Amino acid sequence: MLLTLAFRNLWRNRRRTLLTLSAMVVSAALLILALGVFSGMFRDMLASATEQYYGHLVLAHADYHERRDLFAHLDENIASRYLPSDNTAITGVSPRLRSFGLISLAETSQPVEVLGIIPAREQQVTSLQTKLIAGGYPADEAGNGALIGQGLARRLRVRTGDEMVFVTQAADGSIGNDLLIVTGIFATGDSRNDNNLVLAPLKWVQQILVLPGRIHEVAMTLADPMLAAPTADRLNPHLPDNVAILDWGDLLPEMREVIAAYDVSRMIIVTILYLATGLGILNTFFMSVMERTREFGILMAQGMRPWTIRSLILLETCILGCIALAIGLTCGAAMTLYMQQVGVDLAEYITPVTYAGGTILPRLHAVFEAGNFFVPAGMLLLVSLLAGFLPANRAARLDPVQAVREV
Amino acid sequence: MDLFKLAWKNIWRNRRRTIITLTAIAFSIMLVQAVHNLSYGVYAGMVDSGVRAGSGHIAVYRNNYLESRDEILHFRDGSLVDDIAMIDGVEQVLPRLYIPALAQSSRESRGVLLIGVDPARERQINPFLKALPADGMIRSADSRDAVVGSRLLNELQIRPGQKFVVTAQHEDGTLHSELLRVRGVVSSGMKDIDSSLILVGRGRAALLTGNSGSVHELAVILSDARLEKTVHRQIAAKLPADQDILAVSWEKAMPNLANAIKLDYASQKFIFIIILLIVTIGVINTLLMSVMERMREFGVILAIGSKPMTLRTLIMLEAVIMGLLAAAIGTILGSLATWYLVAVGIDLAELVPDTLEFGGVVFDPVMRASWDPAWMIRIAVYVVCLTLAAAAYPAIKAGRITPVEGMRHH
Repeated sequence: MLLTLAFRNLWRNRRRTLLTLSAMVVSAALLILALGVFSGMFRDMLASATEQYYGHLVLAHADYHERRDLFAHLDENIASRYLPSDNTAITGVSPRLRSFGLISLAETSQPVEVLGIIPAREQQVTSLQTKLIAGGYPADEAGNGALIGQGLARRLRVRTGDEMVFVTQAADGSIGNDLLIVTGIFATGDSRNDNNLVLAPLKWVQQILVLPGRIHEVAMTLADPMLAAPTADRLNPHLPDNVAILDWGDLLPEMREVIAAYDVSRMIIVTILYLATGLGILNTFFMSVMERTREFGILMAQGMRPWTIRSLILLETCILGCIALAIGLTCGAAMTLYMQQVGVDLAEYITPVTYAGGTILPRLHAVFEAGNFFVPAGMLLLVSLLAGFLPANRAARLDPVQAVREV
Repeated sequence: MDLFKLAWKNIWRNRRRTIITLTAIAFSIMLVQAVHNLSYGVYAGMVDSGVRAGSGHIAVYRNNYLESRDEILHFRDGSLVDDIAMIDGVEQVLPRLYIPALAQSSRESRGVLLIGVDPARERQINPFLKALPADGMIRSADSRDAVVGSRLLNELQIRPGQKFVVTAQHEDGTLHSELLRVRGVVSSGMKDIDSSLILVGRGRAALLTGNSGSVHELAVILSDARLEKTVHRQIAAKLPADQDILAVSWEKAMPNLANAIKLDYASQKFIFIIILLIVTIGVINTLLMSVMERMREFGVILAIGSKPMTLRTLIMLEAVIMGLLAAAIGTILGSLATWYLVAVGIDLAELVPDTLEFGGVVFDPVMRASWDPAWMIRIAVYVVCLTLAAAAYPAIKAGRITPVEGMRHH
């Protein structure tokens, strides 16, 4: 009964209701889109760190990531020896040996990080093979081919097929130096990878470091990156004491901080936006209540209770809020989907932004994330209820005699 | 003038509605202005700490050095440092040599970026060096003292006071090594810097590559960031024309920070647009309602001989008055909010970790606003224009009624 009445009341002034509704829909839908795009930026940032370098999980000596100690090496078969073989969640396993040194060609030299990898295995973990601008991974697992970043290639002025000299300190204290031949060049947009990273066959790096059969870490990827922490917890008991699996959150604490800070700023943005929307709704409902002062007076004179009037008005705002929510969520989801599929390329306006261990690519690209829908939806309902509350109170406190007299 | 009076009186006929609408608009203006001024202040703070730790408000390079970072592209600074330091508004000029090198301790080796600096000048500016104790700073440009990033120190497994070797390529193509001693440790909170930074005196650095008296960069720090354009011109005029040397603004020299700010501000602008859109819809709503309830009145006005054009103007006038009032009140509120944010600020220390990074600088958890009056006025003008645009539909609607229809309207 009350519900029908509320519905009819809303449709009595169709134009006003539709305008108010549109304000609510616009705020919810555009906000969902904006949050989806922000999440997309952070997803890119995370992907640049995990899919282009770390992987989702890394097995290494427990304190290896702190110091990257040359001597904290492991047996190259550690993964197959200790990890349960029935692990379907893990989609890629790549053993790596890391070396820091100076790479030079003719008159220029650059400090680099050389990662010894098995090309076929590494491609399961990182996606550098999709970022190639020339050549590819070294084909020979025992040869001296190297995949290098675009920035490094530009600084050294090398192309595929060119020879470079790599100098580093080996495990036996000697100075190791040897030739590398560029087999491929990648461009990720992440300045650290593009300027510093060199991928070479594991055997070659083992030889130059005088660490035969040894590796520093095993990088792994998962089907679902969000399951990294629980998977690490599950696998760690299988490992020897001084070895541990860390997930990307442990490896990139600074990025975890950035993402946590984003959650704070998301709340601030949503609050500010809904303060503005709330005032708009309040405005309309106050007006619609004032217009009907006489009507409410008559209803009360006939015996309607103040609380019934209050719930009538609250019901009206609620209905409006729910309709706005349904349309807003649908439109927001549709726009997010569009931005997910198509996106906008910003490469002309800005360059990639690298910080906190990751890179934000110059593109607008949305992703779906539950929080981006729940937070605006909850706020919209809350705001419409709050905005209905004041007018409802006013209507409930009317004096029938005075109200009926009002024109 | 009569029409203006009529519009004014009309607005106040339904006082509560007008007040609610005004509040909604004014409040939105306040929000947008305060939030903008807050980020304006925060960005300014980031730029300031960014340029002080980085390449200055204005940086002087050999042409192409910025893109290629090629060590060959150095230039003789001669009297340039002193010449530029003479310019009004220049706080300091920092000559620097950037040398990619290999740092080796007895156990480990790491690729590093060795920066040859003028220790005394650098210490006055760089926030990380300022924090060092007196005995933690490089003593002279030729000494073997080095200031090393904390993470790098940890990775090399050495302690302050201990020795290590850096190796780099000399101009003649051979590898040269220098023995350095850790004097101070810098902990910036940024992994990239802490794991690759080594500062030494420029004299010592030049021995590695054999280009003494040369620099890769002159970082010019200004006493006031707003002087950038004028000082930039003066610096450009002082550069020798025959040596292919350029002055570059920090936005070009540090694209990472500039773009991070751009990106952040763009997303904020999008939110501002949504807010203004909602405000506009609210104004349309109010004006339309006030037109609809006065149909009868408009009918009478038309019947006694007013032109539809007069009615339209009346409604537009009402909208403009409302818009101007809201803009004025909103700007006053916005100024009050800004004043509070400038004086007190927002302390996020409990919400964000103190090592939070943004675009390559450490985020200051106490956010403070900064005045940007030109922008505040612009937003106020936008809102007046928006109210005017919002009045178009109700005004057209009022202009279209015929006297008979209008008077029949109940």
